[in-house]
Amino acid sequence: MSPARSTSPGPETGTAPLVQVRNLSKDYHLGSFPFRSTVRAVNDVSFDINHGEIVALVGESGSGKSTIARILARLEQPTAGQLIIGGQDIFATERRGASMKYRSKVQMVFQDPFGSLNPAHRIEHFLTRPLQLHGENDSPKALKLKLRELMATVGLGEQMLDRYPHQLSGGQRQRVAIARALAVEPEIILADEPTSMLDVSVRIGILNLMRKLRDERGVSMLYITHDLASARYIADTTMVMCAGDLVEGGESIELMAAPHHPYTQLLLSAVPDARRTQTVRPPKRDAAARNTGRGTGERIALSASHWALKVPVPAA
Amino acid sequence: METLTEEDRANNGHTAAAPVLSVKNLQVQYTAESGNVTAVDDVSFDIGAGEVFGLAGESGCGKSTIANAVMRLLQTPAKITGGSIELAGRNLLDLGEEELRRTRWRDVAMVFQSAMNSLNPVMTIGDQIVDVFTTHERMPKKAARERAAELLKLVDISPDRLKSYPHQLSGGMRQRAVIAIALALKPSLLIMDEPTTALDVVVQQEIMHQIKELQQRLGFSILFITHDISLMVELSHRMAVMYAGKLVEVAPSKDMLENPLHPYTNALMGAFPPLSGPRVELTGLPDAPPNMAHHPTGCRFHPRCPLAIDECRTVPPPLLPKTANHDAACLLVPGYVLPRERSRR
Repeated sequence: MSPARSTSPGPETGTAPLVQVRNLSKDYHLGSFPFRSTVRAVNDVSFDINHGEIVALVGESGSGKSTIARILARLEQPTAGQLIIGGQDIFATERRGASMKYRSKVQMVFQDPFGSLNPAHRIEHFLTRPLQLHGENDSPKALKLKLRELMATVGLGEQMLDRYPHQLSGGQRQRVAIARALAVEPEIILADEPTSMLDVSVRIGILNLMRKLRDERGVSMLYITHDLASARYIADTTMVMCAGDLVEGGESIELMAAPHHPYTQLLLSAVPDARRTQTVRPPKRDAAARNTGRGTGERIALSASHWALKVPVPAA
Repeated sequence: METLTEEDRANNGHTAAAPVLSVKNLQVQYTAESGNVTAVDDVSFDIGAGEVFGLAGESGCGKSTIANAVMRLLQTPAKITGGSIELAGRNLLDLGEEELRRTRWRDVAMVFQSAMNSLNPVMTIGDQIVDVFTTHERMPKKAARERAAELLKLVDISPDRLKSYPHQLSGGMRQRAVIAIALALKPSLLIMDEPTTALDVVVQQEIMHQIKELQQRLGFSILFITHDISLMVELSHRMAVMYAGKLVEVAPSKDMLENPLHPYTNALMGAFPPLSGPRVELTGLPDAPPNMAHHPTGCRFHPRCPLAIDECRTVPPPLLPKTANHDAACLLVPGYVLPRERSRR
């Protein structure tokens, strides 16, 4: 297979990106009255997700990447910004929170497959619920068929439907979580570190499943991770986040071959790589690398598919 | 078998004559309602002076159990049911409570999994380090404080931080403080059980670099446990891969990386997408972690092994040397000879 897909939209879709995020910001307020302070978790972030594209959002913990996923899932309200999905300005038209219609388009897979499945229910329950809530009143027989299909799609045997979450391994549970998201046939899946709690040996299986869903079903994904190598492996586009700012973005392979922003370089050099020949001294975390200092927010185009945030005057 | 490899290593000059830690035929069982679960089964390995020895494997394969066995920290339902653990020639399994108390931390110290949370939240970092000296060395408070300051400097933390509480430090700093506490009594062996799993990549790299530097400067040995093989190859001199309670391959890290012999090692090595070169499809392993209570017959890895042949279902492969210092337990390893046919030099 050729994983290096172009980011241009498929033939059956229009030219407009599926998801457009514009100038998204999120402030968290800390403390109470005399000691109030504000933390800007996401600062003026804009990006697109095309039809059938996997976009990776990488960064350290606390960089704001999960906050973006949670805002897109409508679990958090943004402080400012626009979210346009399929031409509809979501924050303006659905002020309160996610409608059923929205949820049938956007689904989320959480980091912890041990916490995201209710231990009191069988696997069948997790997949039947979304089918009943969002589907068109299927007969029990049709429902069974759909369940079977779903399980096959994520690579699980039918007999697993009768099991409880504790009887499944971490990887199997994460597959159930993905099947649950798929049940409503969403256009986009938000995957928040779906492999970080899993054993290394089964991580690849989940990543391959995500790739398969993109290639075969054309599902778009926002893949949140701190693992740059896995982002390079499955994502068409990678975006790097640092302290609330999107500092660099581009075609994954291109970006990681020639990282421009000092923070991207720092992240890349920190990835353990057994095949690295010389030992790399960890770069000192100076202000330039760590805090982009909220520069002008100006983007430099490095190529047609690669841009970086202009770095504020480096500390001399 | 272990004597053979030891002899080989001595011939190679690979490790110094006497190993710091020598684990022989170790067996650990957990008692469960459904019967005994053998978490560590006939595991033998040596760690030489100043050697960093890595132990890799999936969760539940028994690697942390080995660490806890060496520290003699296992509690019911876990029980060491066989073998020996010799630290500088003394069998730790023969020691009484009092002797153990003196051995722990002075001769062998441990950095626990998620160690940053193992600090006492209501004591300052300084008090926790001073504690080590006053308890184990009966050092006066003042001298202990001075030593504590030196220790913090050793791990690049300003001595002002002695007065800080754990919550005032970042995750990386806490982890370094824990390493400082572990090194306080200059142990000859440091056990590190997934020391960086809870940390970000950048912090992880800083910590790993620091550990490497300290190890080279102070010359202690390390038993390093992780499931991240890339990390392990970067740090350790020699490593072992463990599967379902058994060692399946032992080799110098470079050898293991360049020429893995066991299909399981191969799978682990292939589980990391590369950061350069073309995008190639990786396969990983089928999602069926071993059931420790009911091991399959023959090779324990055969249900997940892409190369398994009929014999694998019935013949349990022993861990045997392939070359002088590269052991593997697989029937399919090229040049693998069954024990009775083996004629070594």
